[in-house]
Amino acid sequence: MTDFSIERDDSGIRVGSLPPHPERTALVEARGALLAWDVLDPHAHPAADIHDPDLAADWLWEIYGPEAASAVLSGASRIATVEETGAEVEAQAESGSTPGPGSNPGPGSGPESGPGSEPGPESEPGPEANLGPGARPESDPGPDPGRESTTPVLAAARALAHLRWAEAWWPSSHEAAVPALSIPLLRAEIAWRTAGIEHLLDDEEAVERALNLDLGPLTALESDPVLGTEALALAENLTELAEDYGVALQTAPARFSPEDWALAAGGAEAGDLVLGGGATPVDWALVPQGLVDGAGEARWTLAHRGGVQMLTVAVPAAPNAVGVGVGPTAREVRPSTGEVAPGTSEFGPNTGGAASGAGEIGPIGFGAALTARIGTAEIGLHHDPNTGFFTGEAQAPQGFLMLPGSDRILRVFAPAFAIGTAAAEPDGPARRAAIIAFAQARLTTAGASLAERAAARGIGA
Amino acid sequence: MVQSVAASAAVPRGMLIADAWAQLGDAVAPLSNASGRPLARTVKLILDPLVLRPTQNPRFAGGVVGVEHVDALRAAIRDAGPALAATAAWFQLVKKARRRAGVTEGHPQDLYFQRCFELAHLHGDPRSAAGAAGVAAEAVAEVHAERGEVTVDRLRGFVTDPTRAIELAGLLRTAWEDRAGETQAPAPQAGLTEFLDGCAIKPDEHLWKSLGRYRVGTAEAAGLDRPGVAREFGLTGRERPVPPEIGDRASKRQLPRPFDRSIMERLFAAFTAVFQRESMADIPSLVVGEIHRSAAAWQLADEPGRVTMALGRDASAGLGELADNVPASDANARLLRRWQRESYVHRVLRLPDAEAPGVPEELREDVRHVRGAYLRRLWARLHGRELRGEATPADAVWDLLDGVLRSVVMDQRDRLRRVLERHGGRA
Repeated sequence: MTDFSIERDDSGIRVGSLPPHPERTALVEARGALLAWDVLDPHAHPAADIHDPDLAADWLWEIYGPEAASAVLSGASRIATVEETGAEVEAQAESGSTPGPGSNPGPGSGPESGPGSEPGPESEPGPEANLGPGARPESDPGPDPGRESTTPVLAAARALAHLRWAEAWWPSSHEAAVPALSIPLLRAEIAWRTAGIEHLLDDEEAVERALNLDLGPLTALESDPVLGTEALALAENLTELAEDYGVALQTAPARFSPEDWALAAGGAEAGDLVLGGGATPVDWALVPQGLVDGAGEARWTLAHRGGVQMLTVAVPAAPNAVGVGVGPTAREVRPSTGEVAPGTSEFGPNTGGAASGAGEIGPIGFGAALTARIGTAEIGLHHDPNTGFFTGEAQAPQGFLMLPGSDRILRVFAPAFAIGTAAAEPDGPARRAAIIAFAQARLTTAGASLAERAAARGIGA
Repeated sequence: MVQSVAASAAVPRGMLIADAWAQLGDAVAPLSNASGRPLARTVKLILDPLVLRPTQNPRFAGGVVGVEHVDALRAAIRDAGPALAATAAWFQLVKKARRRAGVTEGHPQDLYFQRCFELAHLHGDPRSAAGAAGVAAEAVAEVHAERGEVTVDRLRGFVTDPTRAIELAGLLRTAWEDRAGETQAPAPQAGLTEFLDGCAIKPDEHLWKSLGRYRVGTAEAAGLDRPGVAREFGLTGRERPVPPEIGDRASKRQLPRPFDRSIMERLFAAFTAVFQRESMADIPSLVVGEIHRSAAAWQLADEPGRVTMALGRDASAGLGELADNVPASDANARLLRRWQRESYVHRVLRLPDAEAPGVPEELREDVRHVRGAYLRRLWARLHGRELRGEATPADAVWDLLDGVLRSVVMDQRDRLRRVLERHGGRA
């Protein structure tokens, strides 16, 4: 049972409160309302910001159940939703090959007509979820938040929201052992979930838009002994879907690459006289997903070298960071995921010719992937594939060491992504740690997405 | 299920439809999504216009249906069951024929849903109709052939034909000279705001017609020739609009602003952006029509389109401005809220900040001046509707005004994501 308070004003109706921070928010943009789940909250039902009740009336009952939806729309000040653990419904809703509509439970399977209404055991996705994929049979609804949902539409909506969250916030990290997710796999799942609830989405072209994806990596996964069947079913569904929507799917040759967990320290060189240094965690709001290690710290070092003071900055890259001039250089053939020719470039023509030296590959006509600001200095950081760090250095501004500590705070941002002026939030580290713990737990959750389970098996990016 | 909410006076229409639809079973699966609900386009193209017909049956209109009409709505869908099942079967067959013919252009649901419903009424279920496969192949060929008629190549050939070039240039000059002589009446007390207040919930059909009859859209275009006005609206890059060129080339990328597009570019944009070319006129009349259109108010030919431009101008006031403007109408308030919502969604989806130094200037300008991007797209939509001869009824106006902003927003998201793909990150 979840209680939601209802607020109303001229601009609409709010059911519960939206999650407190962007990185915790799993969103669906529905017709007439935003639906938002807090990824750290295991409850099945989302908060909602209803801006057009007339439009939302059409489908709101599918999310909250007919009675609660009717109460929301007719002036109640609070509602309670019931969460079922209907294993049958779940098993269908979670499978990659969702059955045809005929075998679906119709809208009559809403909470009030379902088999029993005892709420499922609620639990945080904490340590008890770390049992490993084999520890819980697929059919066991278990304490996994992703499997509490009641109707197929609610389950599909939540799954879509989660996938979109992962696309934006998945904290891939060497340091926290969170492997990168395969973006093409995520997008394949997003397309399928989008199609499952296209009747309630705001964007009339949501499915067409979502089908703009590369099927190659999904097809490559078909030979995987554990995930192959599911991958095959999803690929078939997407192929049919693409035909129904008149979209030509792209199928580039798969290019899975092994995770590169090699780490080396960046920073001062041997022989330098180190004068000082410091570290700051990287604010996720200032860098795009998948570029910087989710748990990584940006470090600066001040050193004497050849009579000048040099400032060196190093930021750990995320596993399989993709970007211009960023990425693994060595290849190998993985039998389970298809062939990758050794030495082929993953990133197209931009990566090769623009190199001006090791670790200094930058986009043509553009600066570095990251910019570091400290004191009055602004330093471009380039990816060094040998160390897995973004690094850069510059001569230190006059009197750098005399600056008060508060003026020597290092800030790192991606210039293609952020302005870089936002102030660091004091609760940032704790917030990020919570998301990292959530992601770690997802890797061992039976009901997790294909991309998450693939990443757990070492098939990422 | 219906019983459980019968206590309230009304039932969500979507719930009734979903329930009645579920009763039709597997036979309508090709018209359903993976959750077993009718596809959005099934509702939009088949159930609404051909089965429930809310314009004729107001009791079936709106988000909720009065409890006394619940049985009638369910019966309407149940009675249409055999026809819907046959429509679904035809759709399967037509898709097969389309595959065989190697047709990949266009949206199959948009192209064939209504045609399949027609076939269902003409021939019944294809599984028991003789020669069904042939009929399906014919349906595909028909749509395909109609669409092939007007091609960009033929358009280019026509406008670049040297013997015609002089004639066309003369037409263009005359059309614009006549325009210069036209004295614009001052805008009458418009009723635009009144219409914008109701159009999202209860569009006023009568008021819509009178806006057209009194040529309010034309009158509202008078200001566009004053210095800077059309530029402010994003419709031109110039101080004031000038006659377009006939043009001999066009590319989908980097089309100039609407009033700066050549005749060739205007028609080209409509060809590529919009399907259903079958309803367009032949090339010579398209070109001549476009020349006249370019000299008309809002550079559109029909009054409803001009009224819609004036409505869009007012509904988009303040869009993208930092100041907390007091909305001038309900539609204005709704569009402003959609834009506000976008900044929230933007953070949640972790999209790049348009003000980031690595974002191309052109994209940053489009985000900053979203109102201009909005009016440009609205103009292009209206222009396309004119070319296809599509009427704009009162109840289609809000969908258009709102849908254009959604489309602009989604387009900006895509472009911002592409910045990341080019410059690093995993967007």
